[in-house]
Amino acid sequence: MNLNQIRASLLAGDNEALHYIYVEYGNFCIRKLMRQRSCSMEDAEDLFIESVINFRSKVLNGEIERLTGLGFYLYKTCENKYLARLKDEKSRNRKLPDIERYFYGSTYVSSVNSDFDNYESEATQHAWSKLTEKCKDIIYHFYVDKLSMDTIAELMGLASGNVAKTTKARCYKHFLTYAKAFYKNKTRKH
Amino acid sequence: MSEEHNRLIEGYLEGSLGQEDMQEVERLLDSSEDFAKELALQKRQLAYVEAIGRKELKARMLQDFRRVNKSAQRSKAGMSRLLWYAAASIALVVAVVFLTRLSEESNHEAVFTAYYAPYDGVDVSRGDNGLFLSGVYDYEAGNYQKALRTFLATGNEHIAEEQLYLLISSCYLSLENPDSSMVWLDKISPEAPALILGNKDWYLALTQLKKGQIEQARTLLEGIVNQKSAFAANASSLLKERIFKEE
Repeated sequence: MNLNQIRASLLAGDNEALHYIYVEYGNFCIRKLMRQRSCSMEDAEDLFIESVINFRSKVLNGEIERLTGLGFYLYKTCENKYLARLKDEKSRNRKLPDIERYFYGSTYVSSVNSDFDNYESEATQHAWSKLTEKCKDIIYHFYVDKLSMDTIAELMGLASGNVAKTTKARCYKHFLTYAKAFYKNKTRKH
Repeated sequence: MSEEHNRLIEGYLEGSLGQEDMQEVERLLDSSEDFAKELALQKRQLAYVEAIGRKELKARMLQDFRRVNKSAQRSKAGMSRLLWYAAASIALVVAVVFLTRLSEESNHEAVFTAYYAPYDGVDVSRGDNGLFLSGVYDYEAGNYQKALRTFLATGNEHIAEEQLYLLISSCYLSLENPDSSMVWLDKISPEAPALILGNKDWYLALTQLKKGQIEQARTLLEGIVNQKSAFAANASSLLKERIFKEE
């Protein structure tokens, strides 16, 4: 499968390209990570999927136009992600106050949602869960994959980029409404 | 929060605002605490959406990957099992054919060995020729290579031509060279004495047996039996061997 075929398959929303990548390069990357980076099977699988997600976004975005050696590209992404995780873990351990490390161990992540107040994260989670799959997809593609409205329209089978834009705006509004309603409700009770 | 403020926040987060709108956002951030709070909240919510959305997508893909990978491995294993079965079947067939051939070969070889004795009808007045005689001695001692060299060198000066041919063909047969043996037997003329011809047929039959030409050997042996030549008893006994019955 070449890059154009992969892109076409990803845009068509079928799983052919992803399955091709899984079968052709999955074991190659996972075994290499286990052998060369001493990753556990679970971590290696996790890194591989992350690299596929990364590749998928870049292909859909048109950031990758030419590629030779997809296996090598995917493995390199896995390796970079592995190194980034390692670095992140080290710096987190350095920042973690001794007392927290003492009680929770080195893997403890101190105040993940420290920016949120008590109910904000709960409200966001609630609002996200209330969204339809279509709304989740469109928000994800726009804000996370950073895809253009035209690409989203193609990907999701919508009539045009304008339709995708309107749908995204509506979904995002629903999301905010659900979150605000939940938040208000919670704060009123307490 | 007014609709206009919401539009500005959404546009700001999308990065789609024009220069005028951007200036308005900056002004509002300085002047309105509510606007600044709302923008910060939505930023955090989007960051959260990014994390949770990615997590969900990852979980979905991981599940799909494990399923696809498992089925691919199963199909590969099935394929390789199939290949193993095919290879094993081929190996079995080859082994059976090889063993059958080997057993056939060893059969006719064994029968040949049981019946073959080098030609011993040498009629030479010893003392006539030292060299030829030394060849005969080598022949009788089983040094067939040396004897063969002598017989080929001396020619038929001291022995009847047909006898020499029988000796030479016998040397070749003893040296496991039935093809050359047959060439020398064929040189014997059909006009030769009956005893010589009887020997010729007998050794020709044995040569064919050695080569695995069972049908041709059978025809010759049956002829020997019918002609009641000196080798009739041997031929009759040989024909009773299983190798001739199976064919």
